Amino acid sequence: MDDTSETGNNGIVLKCEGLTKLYTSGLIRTKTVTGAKDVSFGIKRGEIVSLAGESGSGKSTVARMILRLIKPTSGSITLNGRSIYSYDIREYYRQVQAVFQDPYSAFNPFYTVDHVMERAFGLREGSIDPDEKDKIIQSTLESIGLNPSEVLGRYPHELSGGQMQRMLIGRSLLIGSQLLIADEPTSMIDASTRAGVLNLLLSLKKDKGLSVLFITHDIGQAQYVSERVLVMKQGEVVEQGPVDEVFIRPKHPYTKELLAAVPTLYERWDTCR
Amino acid sequence: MIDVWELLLRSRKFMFGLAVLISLILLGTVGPWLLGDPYYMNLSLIGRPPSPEHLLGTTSFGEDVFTQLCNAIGNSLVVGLIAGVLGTLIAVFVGAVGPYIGGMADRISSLATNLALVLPLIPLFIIIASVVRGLNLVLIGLILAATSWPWAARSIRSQVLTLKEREYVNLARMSGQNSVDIVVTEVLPNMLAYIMMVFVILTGTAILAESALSMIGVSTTRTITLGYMLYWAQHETTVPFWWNIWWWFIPPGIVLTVLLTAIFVIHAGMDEIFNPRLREL
Amino acid sequence: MATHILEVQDLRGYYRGTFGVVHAVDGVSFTVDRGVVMGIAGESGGGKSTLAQLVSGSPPPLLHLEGGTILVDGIDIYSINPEELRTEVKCKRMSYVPQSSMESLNPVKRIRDFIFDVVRQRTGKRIASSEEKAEVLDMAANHMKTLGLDRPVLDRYPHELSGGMKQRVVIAVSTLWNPKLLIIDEPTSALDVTSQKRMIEALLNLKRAGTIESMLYISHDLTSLRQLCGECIIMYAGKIAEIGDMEETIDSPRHPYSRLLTAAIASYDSKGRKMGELKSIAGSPPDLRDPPAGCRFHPRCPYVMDICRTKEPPMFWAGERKGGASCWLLTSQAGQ
Ligand SMILES: Nc1ncnc2c1ncn2[C@@H]1O[C@H](COP(=O)(O)OP(=O)(O)OP(=O)(O)O)[C@@H](O)[C@H]1O
Ligand SMILES: Nc1ncnc2c1ncn2[C@@H]1O[C@H](COP(=O)(O)OP(=O)(O)OP(=O)(O)O)[C@@H](O)[C@H]1O
Ligand code: SF4
Ligand SMILES: [Mg+2]
Ligand SMILES: [Mg+2]
Repeated sequence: MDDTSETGNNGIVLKCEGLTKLYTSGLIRTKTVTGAKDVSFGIKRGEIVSLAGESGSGKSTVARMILRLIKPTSGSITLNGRSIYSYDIREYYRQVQAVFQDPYSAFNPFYTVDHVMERAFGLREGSIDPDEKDKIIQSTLESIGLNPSEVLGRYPHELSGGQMQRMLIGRSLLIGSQLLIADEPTSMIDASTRAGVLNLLLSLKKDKGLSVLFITHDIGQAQYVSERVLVMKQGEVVEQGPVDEVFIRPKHPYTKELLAAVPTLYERWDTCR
Repeated sequence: MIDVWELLLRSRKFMFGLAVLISLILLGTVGPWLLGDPYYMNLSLIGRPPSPEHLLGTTSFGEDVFTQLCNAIGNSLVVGLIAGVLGTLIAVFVGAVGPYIGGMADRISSLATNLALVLPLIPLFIIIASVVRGLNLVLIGLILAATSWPWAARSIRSQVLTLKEREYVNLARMSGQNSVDIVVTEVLPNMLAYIMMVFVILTGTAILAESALSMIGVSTTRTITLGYMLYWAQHETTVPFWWNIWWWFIPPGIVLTVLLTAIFVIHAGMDEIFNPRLREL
Repeated sequence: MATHILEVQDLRGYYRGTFGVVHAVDGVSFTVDRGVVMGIAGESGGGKSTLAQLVSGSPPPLLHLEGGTILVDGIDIYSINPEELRTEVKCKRMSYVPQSSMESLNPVKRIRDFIFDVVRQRTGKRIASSEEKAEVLDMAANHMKTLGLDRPVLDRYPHELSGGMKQRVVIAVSTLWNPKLLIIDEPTSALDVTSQKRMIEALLNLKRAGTIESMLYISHDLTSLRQLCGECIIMYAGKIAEIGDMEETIDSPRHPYSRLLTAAIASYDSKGRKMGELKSIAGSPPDLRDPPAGCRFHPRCPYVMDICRTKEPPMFWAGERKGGASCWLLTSQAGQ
């Protein structure tokens, strides 16, 4: 991960071109839903790009395609200049990891949370002895502000949303991926914990050169954390550009609408007065 | 998950059903071992009412009803268990394999489920019973298993389909696990409770089905089950009115009812706990 | 008629299980006046949902009421029998919409059938005749209009609706009986900003239309709380840190936790340019199986004093301002 040659031309880690996903349902009379339509963008090394848009606009669809969890109907995705499908699946996941929207469903209720951390070692090559494993897990958790003895050995429902979310981030650190897909990682957590997560992403970007696709419906967060933003509506990217540019001078009416809907702490919306 | 088992232990319904079931199991396992040959005909004691020597009297062949009853309980449970275990295994396999492998496997398993769902059980049995000579408990268990799994497979399939959508399945995939690993370690453990319920229902229905078939004389005619007792009690009696030997048919009737009720109550107790929608109300 | 719609006195609710005893709600007292929307905010895992479940009258199996009383419209809900609770409280006075309740819509049933089910549960009557059905549907459709839902929604399946619509359906159904008090847990967390806004406006419409009188609105998100609530409670680790007027609490928070919490939002929410750095509160929330002695916030509090480590601060009620906070820093003011 230390050499730039690996990241291909001009430091672009991930590149999506003409990404389209049509969901078809029904066996005989099929119905087609557009999940994403002609989405193109790139993420540079050490860059955080936000993907904003309302619910159902296709943000998670794009994420799942990049994560190889669903196949695009058309279009291409390349990681470091190579098609993502040319990678061996485990090699791919060593480089691309994700933190999901809902921490409550990201942990299997059947196991203690250790399960998720241990599984992450499955991606490493060769075997590690258990002591070494524990040590790595503990130091990773400490580095993201969790107290290992407090979280390890407990079941998911015995942890708070914020703790779970941070463990998921810890998991992707453990793997040492270079690209993180963060799908609304802060929707379930309170402001203070949220600030912690956002700052963690920023420092990882600075210290480790992590690239992040930050998916959110909250433009305020996009603005805080990223350099560039894409605004999606009904599967299409309607506006993209540097974050300040888009937020201070939004061009598309939909972006304006999104901005207006962000609640602020010190004012009420007119309709709520 | 852990809480669920705790709750189960605290559920009155479940514990009550379990207690009844365990006593019946004891009766069915320890009884035969203590009481001797259930087929021994004491021809000098034909159709005697209950007495201290013969707690539940004797049949019109001079067999001890209590001894027969204990054996019948044991055997009925064995049939139920064979059908329950096997039916559950088939249901889990057929239900889980489709959604996971997808494509052709999914189509075939769905088709098989739907075909089996419309299979007529009783005619099938009558045919088998007339063709197969030594129809024994194991065979009957197998046949019952082979015919009872479809609805279970279908509901397991829909459960797997919903569980599959959970993010932790995606997370497992992103930890490099393959589909089989994921089904076994991530999906099925969360269905244990449900699978247990399926098992309980399949066992109960198998016991009932075997009894019903025995009663119409289609099942095994050599091994005592509850249905077998009921069958003989109404068919082979030397007294003009068979219901005069009430101690012959009432006990298996009651035991069958109690056994099925116990199983039903266990199921209801589990349902209350495993089905959060019911828990809320 | 009782003066308060909801009166909670020294409420304690613990989870008991193999994991130990979780002191999730531990000595909480407050009242909600008629016509007030009371917000409850706080750290995730701080006991907000637990409090809501206790107040709803049907806590989940492992959650035990360990002490305290809850009066809903003057009725002590834990001293009456379940049947009375159902007929007198749940069907007339109070409605509870749990966290992520939109997931509980049965995927194979149309919304209309879901409504019939609920009506049957509440009234204990089967709705068989088509006139009765039409009547129920008319009532439901009328009601759903206040929440911005069209009649065709009734004929849809849950998966054909967006998250925000599902959430509003659930709310519509739980307010069919014009409950005096609506308890609603995190209705907006899973929604995008536009749906959040629509949701909050819909709730406000309900209140304006007189369908509901008062509300207990739970959310970790202070900004959405701010749009809707007149008063608020800030919870920390199973206790009330601060309670009072919504605007005053945000504009001049008294408890160090509320101060730090608002600071974590304020610095980036203004439109325009990125503002300063967001600050999170150092440390992590306490393990509620073994909460810290004294003030529960003391391991993370920048103003911690010796007394905080050993003695639990009482609620200090401010003189002219409504509300109070539980922090030893306020002793001087309180002494006056
Ligand atoms: N498995 C699926 N089958 C059919 N349609 C789907 C499927 N998954 C998503 N969709 C549809 O695709 C569209 C985009 O969904 P997606 O989940 O990507 O939205 P999103 O922007 O992530 O929304 P949210 O903020 O609610 O997570 C929606 O209209 C959705 O209904
Ligand atoms: N079923 C349970 N068994 C054991 N502990 C539980 C259970 N449910 C919740 N808890 C614990 O009780 C505490 C309070 O949880 P609660 O759900 O009330 O928090 P919350 O404030 O609603 O948080 P959030 O904002 O994440 O919804 C947490 O520490 C949690 O771990
Ligand atoms: S009582 Fe002490 S520790 Fe607690 S909030 Fe106040 S100053 Fe901080
Ligand atoms: Mg999404
Ligand atoms: Mg909650």
